Amino acid sequence: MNLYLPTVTTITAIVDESHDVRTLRLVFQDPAVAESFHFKAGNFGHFSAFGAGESVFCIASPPTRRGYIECSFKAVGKVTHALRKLCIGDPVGFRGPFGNAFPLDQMEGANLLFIAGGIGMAPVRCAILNALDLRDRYRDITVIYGARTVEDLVFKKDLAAWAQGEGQVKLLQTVDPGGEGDGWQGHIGYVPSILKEAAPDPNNTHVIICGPPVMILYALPVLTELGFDEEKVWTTLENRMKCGIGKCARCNVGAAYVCVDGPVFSAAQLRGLPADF
Amino acid sequence: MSEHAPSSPEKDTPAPLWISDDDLRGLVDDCLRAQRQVIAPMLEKGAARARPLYAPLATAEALRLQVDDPLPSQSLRRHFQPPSQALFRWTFEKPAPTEDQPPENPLGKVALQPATPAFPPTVILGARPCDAAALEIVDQVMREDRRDESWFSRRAATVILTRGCTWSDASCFCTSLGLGPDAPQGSDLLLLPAQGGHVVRVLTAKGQAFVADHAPRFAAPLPDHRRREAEAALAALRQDLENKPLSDAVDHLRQGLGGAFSAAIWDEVALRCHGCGVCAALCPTCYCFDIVEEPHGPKEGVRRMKWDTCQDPIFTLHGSGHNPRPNQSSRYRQRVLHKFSVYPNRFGQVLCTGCGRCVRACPAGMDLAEILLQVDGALDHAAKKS
Amino acid sequence: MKEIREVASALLSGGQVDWVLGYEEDAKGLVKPAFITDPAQAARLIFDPRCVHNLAVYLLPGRRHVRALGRGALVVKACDARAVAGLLREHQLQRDELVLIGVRCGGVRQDPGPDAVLNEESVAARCALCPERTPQRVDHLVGPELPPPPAGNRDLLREIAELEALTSEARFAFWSKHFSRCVRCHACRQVCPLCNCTRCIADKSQPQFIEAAPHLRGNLAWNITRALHLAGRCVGCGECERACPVDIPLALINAKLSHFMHECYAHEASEDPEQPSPIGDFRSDDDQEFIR
Repeated sequence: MNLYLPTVTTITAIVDESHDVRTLRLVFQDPAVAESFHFKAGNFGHFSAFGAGESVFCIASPPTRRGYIECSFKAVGKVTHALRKLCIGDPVGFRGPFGNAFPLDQMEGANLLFIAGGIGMAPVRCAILNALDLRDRYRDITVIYGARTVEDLVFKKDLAAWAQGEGQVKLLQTVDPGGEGDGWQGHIGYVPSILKEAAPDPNNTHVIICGPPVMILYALPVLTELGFDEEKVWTTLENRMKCGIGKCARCNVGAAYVCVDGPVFSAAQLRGLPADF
Repeated sequence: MSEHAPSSPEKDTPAPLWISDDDLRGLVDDCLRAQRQVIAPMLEKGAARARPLYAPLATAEALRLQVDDPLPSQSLRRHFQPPSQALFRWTFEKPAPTEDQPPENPLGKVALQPATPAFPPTVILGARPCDAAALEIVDQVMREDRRDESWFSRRAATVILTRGCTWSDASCFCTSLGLGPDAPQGSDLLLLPAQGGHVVRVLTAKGQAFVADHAPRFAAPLPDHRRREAEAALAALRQDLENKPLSDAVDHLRQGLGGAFSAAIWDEVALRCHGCGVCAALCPTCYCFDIVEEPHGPKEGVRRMKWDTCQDPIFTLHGSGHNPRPNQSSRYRQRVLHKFSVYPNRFGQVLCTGCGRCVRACPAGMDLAEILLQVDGALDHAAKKS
Repeated sequence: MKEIREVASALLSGGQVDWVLGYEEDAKGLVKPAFITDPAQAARLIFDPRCVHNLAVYLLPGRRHVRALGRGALVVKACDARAVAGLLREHQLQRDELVLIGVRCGGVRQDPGPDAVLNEESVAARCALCPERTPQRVDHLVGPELPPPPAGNRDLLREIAELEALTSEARFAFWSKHFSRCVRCHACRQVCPLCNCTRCIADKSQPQFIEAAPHLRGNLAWNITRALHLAGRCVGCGECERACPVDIPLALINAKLSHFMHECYAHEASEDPEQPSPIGDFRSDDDQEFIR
């Protein structure tokens, strides 16, 4: 049963990214695990609220920052509600890292375009911070991020830092029409429209894009229109998961298991998969 | 010869042996006295229907040696992947309250205690070849990347004696999956029924060791006319089971996924389906599972693995409320394509042994063999069109 | 048989319905539900003792791909018609949404074939308990008057009496033995026309009312809960027991509870959709004396 036995972490910080998205910072209790734990941007884990169960989230903190991992989630069901009730000092179980990763090493020397919507910013933020921690390996870095309203934008601290110029990031923030409130300086419009307006240069550029299915549905054709190579456009798929290691036969999309062959897929690979997601 | 690699009976096969019915019952006695569990097809008293099922024998007398018994209603799955399995127990050790305790009272430390499954050394006696072959097929997913020790420790602790089929019905289609009434896959010793006893084919090193451990039971010389009698019966049965169109359909499906996925046929096929999951519950190659939390009060509980099925409406339900398989049509398609396209794509083997349980047991009369032919027919049609 | 085909064909060609759901046999002689959408297909419809299935289950609102076919006609035996009445009673469908083709029944087999003979060995045990073999409130009534079914080898009432004669420990041991085999496939629920909750209590996790794992405790909780939820609503069609992959004698529990509802509440599920249901109806003047 070792395969399904979690390691225990402790919550050391809690950040409410928005009214319904919370980030937990976790530290491994076992020093040997803390010492040897490595992962790559795009990997996910199973996080346990003992008594409620496990839930799957991508690891939202970058692998370049050791000593802790972060996860960000919305309370939508039994486990996420239980995780939301936890306090600093409480234990959270962890199994992972699972899945494949954003091929950031393949992207060295290229421009990076990150596109995210809503809570889809979590895996993207991991990759952004990873790239920023190795800044000189990459050329221009652009981030296009949108949410329904200003309040729904997550990782506000990171956004503020990038807006100030930290990491030499070109940041475009947007909210849906009607979500701007008072004093909003950013764009207003859905992410695919903002992407189209911004018309970033596709040459030597890799794209990482995560967000709600409807956003991906409209954004991918825009990227194609703009001339982006679909083998250089990377997104993530999600599915209901239980084992995370390709054993329970639940998360397949056609012949691809999201937990083993994904969650990261290129747009080219996605086109070859059946509409089973 | 590795116990878990597919058997190849061609090279270096030991000569067949003979065991009389009396010696076979004696063998059961020997095993029971040596604290070895013997699982064999039995009839459950008081059940709604009198169908055999694989269950532990209490005595050698309970061993059924009928040649016209139908297939046991359930597969061997529950003996290797129990319907409910504890994974670990958690216990919260809440610290004693102190003055500077934050107002929300953290839970304190949690201790995790992994479950140590206990099962006796086991002999499965009289398994159907389709049921034993299924185990080797599922071995593939259980060993890929991360080994499931719960599965393999039960496999290691079990000797499998299959019994060649002398009964089949219109729902059997093992020969279309490359198997047959005397298929060696997954078996350590194959017993072929004949008058007064069984011809014994030794198939693996484990089987050989078992024979050596019980040498006196297998000592009688093999009467050659019994061997010929057994093999003739098998040949007749094998011929009965042959179904070329179905074998072709299986081959077509294992070659590709695209056309089959989008075929409109699934809506029609699944109209009758109740999504009841009986097919999965009885299937020897189904292995889908769920992980569930079982608190026993606020301080402790057990996390368990339990059988699940892709036919359950909430099998792929996301936390967001989105379900990529929101209707029975898409769920039934998943069942068929996972078994006949996805699994062979990953592991080289079709996830079905043609035992026919799904066909016999389906309350709505879904006939997998007929459906495979139907889907195959639809594929050819689509290919011709394009 | 001929009558069913004629009615079905007329309904389809007249445009009164888009589909007819009845029974047909396959190449192996096994009877199964048949969805026909064209008058020419009506020739496939049959009716004989192999027609064991309760087709009312296909009317459940959750069967969206059946609903999507349009307005339909259903071939119903009396037990199936009582199930339809249950769905009407509980507002799961409207009477004018469907056409009922009632067929007079002389009992059915335990299995849908291939043998079609009805005798004491093959007859379904539940048929002995059937209160009325002719559907009453249907749009078309077909089929000849048939003699009552032969007395079967399996006598549910006798088995229930034998169980009642046991001590409660012995009875609990009996049911524990059977429920230990349950794997929580929920086939019993899926084939039952009266299991019509949009979200079954067994699938709810907030809170987890019924333990999900198929150990004895969880299985007892599930099976007992389902039996109680069906009390007074079950029509005794026996599909749950027929579907159960591990041969749990579910008919005994449901028959016992039906009997109990009859004894204590003078209630028997009938074809009258206006009939009140002991656990389905709440009135402000309900007897509250037992609440202390």
